[in-house]
Amino acid sequence: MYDRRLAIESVTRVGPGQFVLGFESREIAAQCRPGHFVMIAVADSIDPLLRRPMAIYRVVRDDGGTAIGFTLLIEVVGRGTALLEQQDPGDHLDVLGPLGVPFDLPVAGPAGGEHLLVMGGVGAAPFPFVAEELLEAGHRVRAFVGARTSAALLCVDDFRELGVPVEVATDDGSDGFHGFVIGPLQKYLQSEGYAGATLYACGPTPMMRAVHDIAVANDLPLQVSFEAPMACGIGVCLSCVVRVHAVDGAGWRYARCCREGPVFDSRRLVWE
Amino acid sequence: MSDSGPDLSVRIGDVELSNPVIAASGTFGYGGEFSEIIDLNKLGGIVMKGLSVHVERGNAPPRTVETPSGMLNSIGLQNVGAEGFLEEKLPFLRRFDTAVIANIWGRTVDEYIAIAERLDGAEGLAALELNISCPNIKEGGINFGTDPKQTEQVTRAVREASSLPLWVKLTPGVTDIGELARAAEAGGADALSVINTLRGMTVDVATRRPTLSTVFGGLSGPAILPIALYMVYETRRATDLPILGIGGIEGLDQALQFFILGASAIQVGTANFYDPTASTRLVDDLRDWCERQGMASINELVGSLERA
Repeated sequence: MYDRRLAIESVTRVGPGQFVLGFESREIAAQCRPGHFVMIAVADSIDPLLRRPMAIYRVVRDDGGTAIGFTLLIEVVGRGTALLEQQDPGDHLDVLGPLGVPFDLPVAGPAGGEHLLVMGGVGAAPFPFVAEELLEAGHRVRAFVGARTSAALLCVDDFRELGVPVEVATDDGSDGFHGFVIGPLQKYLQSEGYAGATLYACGPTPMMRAVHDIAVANDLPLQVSFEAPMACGIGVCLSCVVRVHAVDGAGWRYARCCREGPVFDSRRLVWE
Repeated sequence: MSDSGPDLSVRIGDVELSNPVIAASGTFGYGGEFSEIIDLNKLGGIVMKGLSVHVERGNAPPRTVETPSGMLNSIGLQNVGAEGFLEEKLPFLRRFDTAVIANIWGRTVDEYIAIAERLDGAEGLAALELNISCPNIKEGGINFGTDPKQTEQVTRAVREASSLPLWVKLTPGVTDIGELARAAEAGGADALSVINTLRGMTVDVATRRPTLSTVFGGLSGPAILPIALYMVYETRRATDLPILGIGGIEGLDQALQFFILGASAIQVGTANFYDPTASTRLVDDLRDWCERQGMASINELVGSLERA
């Protein structure tokens, strides 16, 4: 974990209010695992005051394979992200990271498992990196990508470049399945009658809850990356708590999403 | 001036600090998380997240919301409880050369006494800081800290229950903070931490609901700096007790203002969230500033306010 003032290397527009910020930092990049996040200042100002949590999108490597930088895939959702969108290459921002518990990927285990990545909106951000690592370990990967409309779909090109089959869903039916992304997921599980798949999800809470229900019904493991407002990102402000079942099974407690998450085994969470 | 540069050490009553920069309660956990980013040995002290006898689960989210140059919080005093602190947190902190101050709270005077007694004699604690911005459930929920009689009563009760130096953290939500300062002094306080957060709220326009689950919360951050400075000014006029200045400090300029007004030390709070190296950088900046001013000791600055 490093707190660094970094120059923005690149700003790439990818959709309406959607953009990718690139940074060069060997220190941070070398530690990044899929599912990690950083806390990033949105401007050189005390208003807005707080940094924003952003998932690591891709790690940038040089020709020799050494991690030299990282990128963040951001969608404008409020004032902070709108200010980030106005940043230009060469501008400097404070970045703390990488932070949190990343996805637990079977990169050392036997190859050949099937891994289903389910995402909605900007929740897609961590998944190309997840797919990359799983493919490298010899696993099969399939992506289910949802968004409100065709133009807002994220990461579809990343998956296609990696050779990952993609199923798309849009709320307005402008591309792929007309409805939520759990539609194509359910259809796939029924048609394949698949018992050995592992699920991963990130997106709006109702979507993740639906994927959790599917995972439970089909007895499939599921990891979810949870989003919660954070002030510090390192576990001291206690803003980002989520309910988790107590270890002894009796009752629940609050877990810090930034420290014990953002990636959780979905069965640890108390789904309200 | 010695060869090693200006002397930053300060005394808060009987408590000696290597420098006057302290991390404020609730913004630094129990130190462990920050030890991964900064050298805790560089800090004058660390005030623990508010402790109660029993484990406290805290409020439902949303617990915080950003506001103009500040934030509101309503954490609900979530903490590991006395046993959790003594067994899991304090042993780690003993490895560092920094003063550890336990912030304590309760819902009744008896609860304050219980946590004070439980922590008394614990190795590695330099002082207690009393959070009196809590509703007294036996007195109809009136805050201990807004009623001079209750402030004096709870301070005296803890004073008698513990041999540790006692700092009382005053709430700014009162008409005359000087009256509360004198009440804490009468109850046996050794120093005053000025100020705690101010009450505030925001509304989510889309849902027309309060943004925080508990309706209101405590405002902190740069937005409260001038209020905190004025409260220190009024407290200084009311009592000679040592003052720990708190409120909106993120760097040198704010800290210097508190010292000039009479604070012997300062606490960095919300800045720890958005700038995790703010506190240790401030120690360096204070040393450099004293050196540039040809000041042998930071104490020369304390209470040096000139007339308007």
